[in-house]
Amino acid sequence: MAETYGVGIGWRPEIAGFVEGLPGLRFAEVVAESVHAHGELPTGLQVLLDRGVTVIPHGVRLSLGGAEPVEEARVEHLAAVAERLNAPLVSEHIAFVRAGGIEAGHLLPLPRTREAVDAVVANVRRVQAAVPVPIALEPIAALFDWPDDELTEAQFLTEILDRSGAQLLLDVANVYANARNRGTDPADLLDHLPLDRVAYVHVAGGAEHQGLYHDTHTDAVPQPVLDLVTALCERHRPPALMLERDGDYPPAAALAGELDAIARASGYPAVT
Amino acid sequence: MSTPSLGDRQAALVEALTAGRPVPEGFDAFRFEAARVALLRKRAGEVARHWPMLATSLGDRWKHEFATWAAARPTRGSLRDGWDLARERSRHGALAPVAAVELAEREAAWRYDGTSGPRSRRTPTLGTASGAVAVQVAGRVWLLRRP
Amino acid sequence: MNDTWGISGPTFLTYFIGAMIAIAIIAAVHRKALFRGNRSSRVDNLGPQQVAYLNGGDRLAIYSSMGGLRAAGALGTGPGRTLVRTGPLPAGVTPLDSAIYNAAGNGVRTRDLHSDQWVASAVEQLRDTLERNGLAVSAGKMREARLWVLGGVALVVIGIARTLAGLGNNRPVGFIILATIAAFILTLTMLRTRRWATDAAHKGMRELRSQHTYLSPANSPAYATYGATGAAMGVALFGGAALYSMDPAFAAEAEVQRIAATGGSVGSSGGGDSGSSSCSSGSSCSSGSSCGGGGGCGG
Repeated sequence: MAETYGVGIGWRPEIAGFVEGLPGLRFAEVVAESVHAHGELPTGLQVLLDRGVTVIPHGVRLSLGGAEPVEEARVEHLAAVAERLNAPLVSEHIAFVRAGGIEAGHLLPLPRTREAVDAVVANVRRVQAAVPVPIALEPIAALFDWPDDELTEAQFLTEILDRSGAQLLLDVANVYANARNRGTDPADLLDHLPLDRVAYVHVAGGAEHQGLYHDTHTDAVPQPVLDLVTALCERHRPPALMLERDGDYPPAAALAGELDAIARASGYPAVT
Repeated sequence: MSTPSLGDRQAALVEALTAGRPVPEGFDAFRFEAARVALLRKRAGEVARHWPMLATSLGDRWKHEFATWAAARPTRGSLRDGWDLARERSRHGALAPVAAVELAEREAAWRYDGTSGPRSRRTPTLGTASGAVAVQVAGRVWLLRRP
Repeated sequence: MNDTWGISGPTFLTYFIGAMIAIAIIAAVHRKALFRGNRSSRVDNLGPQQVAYLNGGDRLAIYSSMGGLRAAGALGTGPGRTLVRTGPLPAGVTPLDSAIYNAAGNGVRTRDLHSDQWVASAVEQLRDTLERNGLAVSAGKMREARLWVLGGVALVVIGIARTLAGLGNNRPVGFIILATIAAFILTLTMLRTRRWATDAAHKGMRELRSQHTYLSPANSPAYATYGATGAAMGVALFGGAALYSMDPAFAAEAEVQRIAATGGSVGSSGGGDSGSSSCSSGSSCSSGSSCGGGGGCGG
């Protein structure tokens, strides 16, 4: 995104009233699959658009990392939603969600191999051919890795971005979760990613179960993730950062507190 | 020996994760299991959103009951997953009255054959489940009998 | 052959239908006048329980209060479908809140709440204020509006008598039977109409509802985020179904009826979000939640 948007939030119907009430909000994200391509928009979302808030469709079910080509109908839907929202950008994940005719019901990690890079790049190009605006790709948080990784995470991501020309949607909570679960330094990944290609940033909460950190989106954003936001902004401040919350919504004051914390950590003005 | 394609390996992974197949070779079994359990927990939460009374009627046992039922059943969407589970419990006489009402109302409002997505009914229909009876006329549903 | 009662069929039908239309029009005009209310009164500064009363009468006002108390952690259910206190009474509550909280201390059941003395007087107080401000239709005006039911009943009786007489007289009765059925439906409609909000209030209520669409059960609103007032307003505007969406276990235990608020489109029709939506096929996140929630390997 060329413009600077500051702090935003993932729009969900459950908290539509809260999001509507954020006076300084300039950008939000909506799950692309939850928006009808042609029917009426959810009222809360329409209100935001009328106010001039930029709303970015975020796909979760394209399965860009699947070995088979992305389904045309899904790509068309994403394109139609982008047009509907007049979005400057769309985003999706570097992951697969189905294989062999079975839905996983979740974002699954890819092996960091050349073969997987080829598959992702081919699918991203298919999307780029159909969607009129740029796409940003989000690396996911994974609890497990494939046994035969050929590339480091930074190499894997950079290669995909270089070859597809896509932008990066960096989720600092995912960076934190992966580093913590792999026992590596999250700042190290930041040093090796093309941060000038970050379109916007996700910030989310998580919790630890049985020694593993789960990127739940239903817990509070922990301090180390906020520290990582600061570390990222010291290197290269992205044009927009947003809170991603998907359930167990806390009282409005706590949610506003999380947005303020992201604003403080990034140096952007508060939107509450 | 030729290595299997990315597609085959992805399919094997999804089957292991959702259909009770063994964990593919080389994966960390503990972490894979953690992901599998987390996925089931997430599915339980989503089904509970669509089937609040079914989930509520099982109280603290909901997540466990759902996870047991769903462990070897890949999702067909939260609406259908909950529907299939409710019907199965109804067949076994294990559906609580509030959940039976919920199921009967849906049976009256929607046509669901168990193999493809539910469609709303156009003609007036009676829906029954474990002693609950609901009727749907012109898209409105009334409960006739509470179990 | 003589005309029944000495009046020809077409002439009688003309008078009959004319009388029916006249009753319908006069009753409607009378209602319009009775239900007009005070146009200068506003609803946007009303509390949730007042809004609830205008939408669904005593019962919805009580449910709205229960929703607020429940969201504030003050109310729960005990054995035998009774209400119990689960926490202190929050600050800044209404008289109805205090009354219900008090009743919960005595283990009253939800369905008996309205006959609790303190609750009944709190509701009465609520109603009086709204009636004084020209927002609520009083019981007296409702009775007055229903007087026209008598005219409808008279028509039905005359229609039946004419039909029987016509049959005895060997005359065709098809049209008079149809006209009598129409009169019956008119009578039933007049009898069944029960409303609490005046026309003045109605318009404001519509606006209120569209301003608060986010509280509609269809959005599965996060009541923890909207707080006790949001919960109470959700029930006030969208009926008992909102209590079910907020806390299904509590609503079921408390035997809350899923009455729809008069203007709300929330019935008990199940299904909720459609199974044929664009992303339902095998979807695990069809209802707007991104795939990150609750799991562990999110994006």
